[in-house]
Amino acid sequence: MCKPIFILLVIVCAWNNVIAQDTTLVVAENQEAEIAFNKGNSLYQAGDYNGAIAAFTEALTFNQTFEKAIINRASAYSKLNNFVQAIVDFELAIKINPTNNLAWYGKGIAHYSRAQKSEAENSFQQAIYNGLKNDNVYYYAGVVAFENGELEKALENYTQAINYNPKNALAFNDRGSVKRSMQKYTEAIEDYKAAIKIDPKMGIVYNNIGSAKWKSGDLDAALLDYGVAIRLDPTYFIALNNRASVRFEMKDFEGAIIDCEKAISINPDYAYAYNNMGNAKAKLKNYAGAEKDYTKAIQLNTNFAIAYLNRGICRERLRNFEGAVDDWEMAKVLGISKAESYIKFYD
Amino acid sequence: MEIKIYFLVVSFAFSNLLNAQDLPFEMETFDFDKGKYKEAIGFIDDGDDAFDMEYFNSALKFYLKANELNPENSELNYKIGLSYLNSSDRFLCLEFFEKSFQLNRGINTDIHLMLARGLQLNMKFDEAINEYKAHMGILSPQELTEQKEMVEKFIYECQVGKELIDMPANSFVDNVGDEINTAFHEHSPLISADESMLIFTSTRDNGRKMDDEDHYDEDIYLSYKLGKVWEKPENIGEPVNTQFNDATVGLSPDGQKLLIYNGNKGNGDIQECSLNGDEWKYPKNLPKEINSDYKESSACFSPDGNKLFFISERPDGYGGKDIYVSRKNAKGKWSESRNLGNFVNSPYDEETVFIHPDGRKLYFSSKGHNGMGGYDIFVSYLNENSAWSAPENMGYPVNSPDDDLCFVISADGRHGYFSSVRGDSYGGLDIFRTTFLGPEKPLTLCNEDNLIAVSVNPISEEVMEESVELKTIRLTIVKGLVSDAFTDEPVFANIDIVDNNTGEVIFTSQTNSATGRFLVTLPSGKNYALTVKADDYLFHSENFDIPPATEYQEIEKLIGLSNLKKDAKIVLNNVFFETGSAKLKPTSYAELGRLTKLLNDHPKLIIEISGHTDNKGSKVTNQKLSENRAKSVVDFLVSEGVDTLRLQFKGYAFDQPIADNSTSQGRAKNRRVEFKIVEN
Repeated sequence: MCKPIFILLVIVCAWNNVIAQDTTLVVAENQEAEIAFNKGNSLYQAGDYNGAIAAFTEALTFNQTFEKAIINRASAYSKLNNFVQAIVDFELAIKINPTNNLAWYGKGIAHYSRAQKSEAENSFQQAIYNGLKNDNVYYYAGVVAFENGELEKALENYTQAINYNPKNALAFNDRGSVKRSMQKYTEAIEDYKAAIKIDPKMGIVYNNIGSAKWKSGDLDAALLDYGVAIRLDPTYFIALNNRASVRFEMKDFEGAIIDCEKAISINPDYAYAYNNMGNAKAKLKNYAGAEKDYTKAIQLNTNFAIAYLNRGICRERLRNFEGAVDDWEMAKVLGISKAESYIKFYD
Repeated sequence: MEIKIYFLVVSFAFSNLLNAQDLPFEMETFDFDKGKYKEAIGFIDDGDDAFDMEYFNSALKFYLKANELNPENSELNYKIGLSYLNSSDRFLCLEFFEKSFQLNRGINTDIHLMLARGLQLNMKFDEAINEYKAHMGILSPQELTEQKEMVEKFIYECQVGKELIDMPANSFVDNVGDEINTAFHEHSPLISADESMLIFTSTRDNGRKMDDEDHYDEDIYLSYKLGKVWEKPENIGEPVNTQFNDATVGLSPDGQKLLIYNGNKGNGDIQECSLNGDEWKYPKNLPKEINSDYKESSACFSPDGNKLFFISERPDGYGGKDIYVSRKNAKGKWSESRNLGNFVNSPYDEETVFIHPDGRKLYFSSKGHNGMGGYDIFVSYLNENSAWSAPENMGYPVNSPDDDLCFVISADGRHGYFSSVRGDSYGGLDIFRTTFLGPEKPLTLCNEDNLIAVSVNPISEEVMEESVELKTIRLTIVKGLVSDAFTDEPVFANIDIVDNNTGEVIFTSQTNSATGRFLVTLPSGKNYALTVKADDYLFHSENFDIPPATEYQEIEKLIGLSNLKKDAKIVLNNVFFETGSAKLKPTSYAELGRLTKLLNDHPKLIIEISGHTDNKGSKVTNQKLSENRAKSVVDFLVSEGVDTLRLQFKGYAFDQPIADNSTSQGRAKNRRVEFKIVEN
């Protein structure tokens, strides 16, 4: 019985010796920049981003062209949401070394965070051009392309991201969304399913599957998928609102109202839910209640063209024809062209 | 056995509770109150008499009174239901049929049919279909043959009703109000193009009772609109109204010609009255091309007045009453009437036709096509080929499961007027107005998704460079002992570590005062001078030139310090020359600086600087080199301000080795500069 314990002790002690500090080694001189840089990294890992910035800045006093310190300082600024300064630093690193693909990548993310899509796209492309080969840079490039409406380009980038990392659940989700936008619902659902297989707790994917199934006409299945998304995250008000809309289309107007109310209890400023709840009440001929809901939606978003349009329809049902026309005028100004024909009927 | 009997008793009692008791009209029901019993029976008898005469409204009055006395009689409830079903308020039959069925499920073999009718009239279409099917299920083969078509049509109407309710027309329907409608029938509305005038038919009290049912004959009335209110209607009077039934049929777009139905003419004919100023002229029959030997009940002019659309029961139609058209030529003669065809006309009755002032829309009622029960209002459109399109149901709420007739529409298409019986009728048929709201305005939903995952699930990847590996160097441990070179006693001395490249003292230490021991650590990568100084002793210097890649090492030094007395000497270990030259390297300056200080601190010292070489090369060369090197040191000291008289120099070549010249280390040691105290 003692022998195994003895052996264990020996192993533990030997291991401790191995990792114990070697006292015959000392740091060579003239490495102040590197020492400060490593300190900055430690502070960054510990969450002290301001401390990290100071350390990286110190490193740069010893070596002004220390690219790594510049990049990491930029990242620390990003952590503090100071993307303006982050971009300045990434650009500095690029000035020192125009082929620094990590700097381009970081710059791209900083621009994206500032909703500067064009600059973001350019930066990601430069990162790729300069040899950065990872799934996330392609993912981000895909995101920017998607947001710009360049669906084919987005598809290409997401596919590349997946090629680099077949376990990139985000890329599968987004590629599914692209395909959905292209009305390739079956393929979209396949990608969403792949995302779920990688990360079964990704509630937004269930929501997206639900929406794809809804668009393809499978309302029962859409209802189930929204339900899963909500079970995974009971505060997911977007999914609740979507499920309400599917219930609306299935003519379960009371059910739609319940879901809208839940969404609103989670996010009292969710104008969409007020609009959709108004629709359900209108279908139940509770036009007064519907009008209140549309009004609330408009209060939350004074440019909510659809709510104006719907409230106009509701007011017409309440025989408030003047109020209806006023609302349609507003909807028209906000860009809903069909309001014109509604107004013309009363000319 | 006992348990079984107990169960039967319980179940029988329970079923009796479920089926409420059917109370007959017997004395016992009235607690043997003879007066009440006789009253009740009297009401039933009167009701039965009226029912047999088909005076259903009167029958209802008696039956309902009897019902107040005993509401739990299945047969009475059934009769009330039947009476309602044959009256204008048909939809009220359901309550009583249901009650009758509840009291006695076998009240009549057609009870399911009656229930179905009541349910359909109340728009409970799914339940109605079930009852129709239940009715069909109990019919004999012969009865099924006879009734199948009728019941299947009812079922079809229910299915249509469901569809129409599901997608209602974009319109309101309102009762025009009690300024126009009364407890009697009001129907067949005609409006002027601007809706300011309404002409309609009513069976209100005009002093001419038709029968014992308090029915008055039909008269035509006129009302004008002031603002939003209809004025009290006036009887249009003679010659339009007669002592017989006079009903409105059509009005020309200019309001100058009124078409009326006269039931006393032929089998029912259409007449035309013209307005002369504000008086209507005597009605004239329309010609035989229009009025046949059969009943013509409704008509309207085309906008140009050259066509007349009308309803006729003549037998050459497609079933029952049909829509016909006649054209007036340039001479004012009407053509032979032409049936509008089986696209518009159905195998069932069509009734009450109206053409829109634009001449392209034909409105009529029909019991056929896809109606939801009774007469429904349809519209047919005239296409480019001058053919009428397939009729479209005007939808719910314009149409109901009961009769909806006499539709007319304003010139602007915004309002329509028609006759129907609805829940808010004042009695019998009423006139309703529908407000069209244009094409369906669908409500728009608003939704969003998290199409892009990163907006919700941020990527955790950091854009970070990893920490750099710092260059490390090994240490050289120099330890040793400082003692008096003569007595070997430990000496307390100061130890300086000097970077020969910079001349900077980078570390100072001291020997242990008791033992004279010391230990210093020297990181690799520098050329060090280790100098040991103690009061009254010559300083001692050692050189440690440790390249960067030098591994860890420990060096032991036993250092003997010489007193400051004559002939004491030390090797200047940290004086370096260019190879084969007497030129001092800058790394020598620190050591020579220490020597300078020593001389300054002890102004009486006179020293000899001696140069020594190894045994490589000739004596002459080495002699010259060693001498020149000694002189270089003296020159340095002089340049530092030391009096030349205190300095001597000499070259000894390889005559005074201190190590073995056969080894490289030995030769390195022999290549040296020393200084010796000549005088103190």
